[in-house]
Amino acid sequence: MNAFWDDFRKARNLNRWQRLLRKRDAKRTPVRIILMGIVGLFMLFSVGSASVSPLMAVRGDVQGMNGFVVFASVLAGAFLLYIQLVVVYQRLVVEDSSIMLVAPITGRAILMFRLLEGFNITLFFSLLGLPMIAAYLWLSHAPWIAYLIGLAAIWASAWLIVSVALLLMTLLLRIIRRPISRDMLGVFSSLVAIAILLGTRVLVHDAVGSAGGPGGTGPDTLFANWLSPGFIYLPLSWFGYSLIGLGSGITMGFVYFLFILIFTAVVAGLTFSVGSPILHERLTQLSDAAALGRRQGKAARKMGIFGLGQQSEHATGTRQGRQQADQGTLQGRYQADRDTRKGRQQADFDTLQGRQPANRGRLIWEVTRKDLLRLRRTPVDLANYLFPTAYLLYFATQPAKVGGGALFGLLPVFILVLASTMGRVPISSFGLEGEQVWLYLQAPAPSNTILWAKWLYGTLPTLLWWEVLCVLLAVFHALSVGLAVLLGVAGFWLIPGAVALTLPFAIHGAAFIPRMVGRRNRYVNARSAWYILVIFPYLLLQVAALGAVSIGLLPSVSTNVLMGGFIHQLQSVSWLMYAGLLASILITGVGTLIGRSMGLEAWRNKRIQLYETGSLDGQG
Amino acid sequence: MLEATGLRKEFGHKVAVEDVSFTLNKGELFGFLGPNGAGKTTTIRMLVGLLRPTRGEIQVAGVDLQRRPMEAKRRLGYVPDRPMVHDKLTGREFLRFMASLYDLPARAVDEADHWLEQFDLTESADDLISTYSHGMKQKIGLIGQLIHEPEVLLLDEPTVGLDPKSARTLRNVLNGLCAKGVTVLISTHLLPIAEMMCHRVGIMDRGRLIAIGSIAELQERYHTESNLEDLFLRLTEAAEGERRT
Repeated sequence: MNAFWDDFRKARNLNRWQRLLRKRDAKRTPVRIILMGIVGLFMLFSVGSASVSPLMAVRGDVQGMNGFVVFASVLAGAFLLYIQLVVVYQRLVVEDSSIMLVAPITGRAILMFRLLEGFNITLFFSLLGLPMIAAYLWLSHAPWIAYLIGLAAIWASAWLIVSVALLLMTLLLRIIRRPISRDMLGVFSSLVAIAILLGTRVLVHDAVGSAGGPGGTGPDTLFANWLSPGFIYLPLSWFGYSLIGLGSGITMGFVYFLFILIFTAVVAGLTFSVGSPILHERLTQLSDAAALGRRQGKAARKMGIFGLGQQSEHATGTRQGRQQADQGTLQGRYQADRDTRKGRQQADFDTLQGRQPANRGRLIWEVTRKDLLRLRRTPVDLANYLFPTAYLLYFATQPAKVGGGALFGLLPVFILVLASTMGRVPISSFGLEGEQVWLYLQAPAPSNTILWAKWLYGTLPTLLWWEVLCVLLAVFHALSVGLAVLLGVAGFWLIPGAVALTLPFAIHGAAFIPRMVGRRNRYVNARSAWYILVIFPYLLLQVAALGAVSIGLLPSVSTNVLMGGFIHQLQSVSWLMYAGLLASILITGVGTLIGRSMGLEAWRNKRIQLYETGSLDGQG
Repeated sequence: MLEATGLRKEFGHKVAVEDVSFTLNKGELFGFLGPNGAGKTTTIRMLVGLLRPTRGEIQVAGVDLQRRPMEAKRRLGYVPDRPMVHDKLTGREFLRFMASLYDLPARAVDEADHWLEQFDLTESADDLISTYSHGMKQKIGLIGQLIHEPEVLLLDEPTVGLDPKSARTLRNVLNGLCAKGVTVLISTHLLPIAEMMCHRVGIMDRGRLIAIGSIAELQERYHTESNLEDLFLRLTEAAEGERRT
C-alpha cells in the first residue's frame, strides 16, 4: 500500500511541476481569480435561472416537477460525463502519456490521481445545480436535513460521474487505434456542447413555452415521461430520484444517495482492477501508432545513411586539392565580381525601383486567412469562440414567452457574451503570432498592411456572430425584417470600430510567447483588464446607441417582444432613432480613426522595440 | 553583395558585437563560425534587419538596409536556428502565406513544388506543420525563404535537426544556389561541413571577427597546415589568452 501512495505522490508531483511551469507569474493571480469569480457567478446565475424557471413554470404539478428533476439530473450528468471524458482523455492520452510512460509509476496511481483531479472539476460544475436543488426542495417544503443530504448527493454524484468516465476511458483505450488529435477533440467538444444546449432549449423551453397552450405538449406531460420506470435503472438519474425522495420524505432520498455511493465504489473498483493493467500497455501502443502515423516516419524509413564520419573522412582526404581549386576559382570569381559589381548593383536597384508596389489587398487577406485558420485549428481558441456562440444561440433562440421574453431583457446577456468574444479575438491577434512575428519584420511587409489584416481578422468572426444573431432574433423574437436588417447593417458600423480600438492594446501588450499555455493564458487575462477598462465602456456606448435605434424603430417590432407599456410610450420618440444612428456612426467613425492611429503607433513602437532589443517578451 | 561595415551591437551595458566588417561576393558560400555566445546570431539578425545595429552600416546588393529596409529585405532570406513557421498551417498554406509576404504571385507556390520534392516534403505538404518533426519544420522554413529567390541567404545552424540525407540535400541545394549567383552565409558548429562547403570562413569570438578568409589563406596567414577544427581552436584559444594577459 505504501508503494501505491509513493506512486500517487510521484504522479501528483509530475502534475505540480507541469502546473508550476505554466504559472510562473503569480502577480496576475488576483486578476485571474476575480475574472474567474465573475465568470463563475455569471454561470451560476445563468444556469440557475435556466434550471429554476422551468421548475417554477410547473410548480404545483408534482409529476411535472419530479420529471423535470430527473430530466435535469440525466442531462447534467451526461454533460458532465462528456466533459470528464474529454478532460481525462486530454490529460491522460494527449498530454501526459509520454511523461507517464517513462516515469516509474503504476497505472493504479495514475488512475487514482486522475480520479481526484477529475472530481474537483466535476464538483465545480455540479455546484451550478445548487439553485435548482434549493428551489425544488423549497417548493417541496422539505426539512433542513434534506438540504444537507442534497449536498451530499451532489458530492457523491460527482464521484459517480468521474468513476464512470474513467471506466469508459479504459474501454475507449481498448477500442481506439490512434489518438484523436487535440484539434478534432476541440471541434467535437464544441459541437457536442452546442448540440446539448440547443437540445435543452428544444426539450425544456418548447415545453414550457407551450404550457397551457391549446393542444400543445405541456411541460407536465413532457417531464412526466422522464418518470417512466426505465430511467430508474440509469445511474445518472439517481441524483434526481434522490432529490425526489428528499422532497417527499428523507428515507428514499437517503437510500438513493447510498445507491450512488455503492455504485461509485463498484465502478471505481472495476476501473482500478481492469483499467490499471491495460493503461501502460495501451498508452504504449497508442504512442507507437501516433509515431508510425507521422510522415517523417515514412521518410525516415526511406532515408539513406550518410554519417558524419564519412563526410569528415571524405573532407580530410580531398581537402588539399579542393582548397587549391577553390582558391583559384574564387580568385577569378572575385575579380569578375569586382569588375561587374557596381554596374550590377545599379541594374538591380533599377529593377527594384521598377517593381510594382506590393499587392496589399492580397497580403491583408493572406494574413487574415492564416489567423482564421489558426482560430479554427487551435482547440483553445476555437472553444473560446464556439462556447460563447453556443451560449448566444441558447439565449437568442429562447421563445419570447420565457422569462419575460423581452429582447431588451436579453441584451445584457448578448453584450456580455459578444463583448467577451469581441475582445478575445482581436486582443490576442498579435500575441498569438508567437516568435513568427519575426516573419513580418524580416519580410518587406508594411506595418499598415499587417494592422489592417489584424483588424479584418478581429472583425470577421464577431461580425458573423452578429449577423447570425440578427437572423435568430428575427426568427425567434418576431422582429420585423426591417429592424433585423437595420441591426445587421449596424453591426458593420459597430464591430469594426470596437475592434479598431482594441488593437492598440493588443499590440501594446503582446508578449509573443504563446507556446507555453500558462503564459498564453496570462497574456489573455492580463490584457482583459485593459479590455474591461477601455473597451467595455465603449461597447456600452455602442449598445446604448443601438438601443436608441431599436427604440426608434419600435413601431415595426411585434408587440410580444416588448416590455409592456413603458416601451410603447417611447414609440413616438422617433428622434431617438436618428440620434442613435448618428451616435453609432460618430462613435464608430471616431473610434476607428483613433484605433487605427493608435494601432499604427503601437505597432511601430513594437517593431522598434523588437528591432532594438530582439526581445519577444514584451518587456523590452 | 552583402557588406557589413563597423557593426556594433550593445544590449544595455553589454557589447554583443564589436566592429565587425566584411564583404561577401556574389555566389559565395561563407561559413560563419564561432563558439557559443560569440555573437554570430546577433550579427546575422542585424544583417537581415531584425536587430538595429548600435553602430555600423549594412548594404544588401547596394541597398542600405537601414535606410531602405523594404527594398533590402526583398533580396534577403533568413533561416533561423529555430524554425519560424506557423504550426496551424499546412506546409503548402505556409508557403502561400510566405509568398504573400514577399508579394509573389500565387503560382510561386506551385513553382515551389520542386523544393518540396527535393526536401522530401511532397507527401506531407498538406499536413499541418504541427505534426512535422523539427527537421521537417526546418526544411519547410527554408523553402519558405527560397520561394522569393533571395539574392542573399543567411542560415543560422541550418543542419540542426536534419537527418543525414536532408543535410546532404541542403548542402547540394546551397551549392546549387551559389552556382546560380546567390550569396549564402551559413553559421554552423559543424566544422567539417564548413570546411567541405565554404569558400571562405569568418571566425567570431566574444563579439569580434578574429579571422576571415579561405582555409588556405588562414593556413598561410597562421603558418600552419592544420585542418579547420585545429585552426578554429587555436585562434579562439589565442584570443582568450590575449584577453587574459
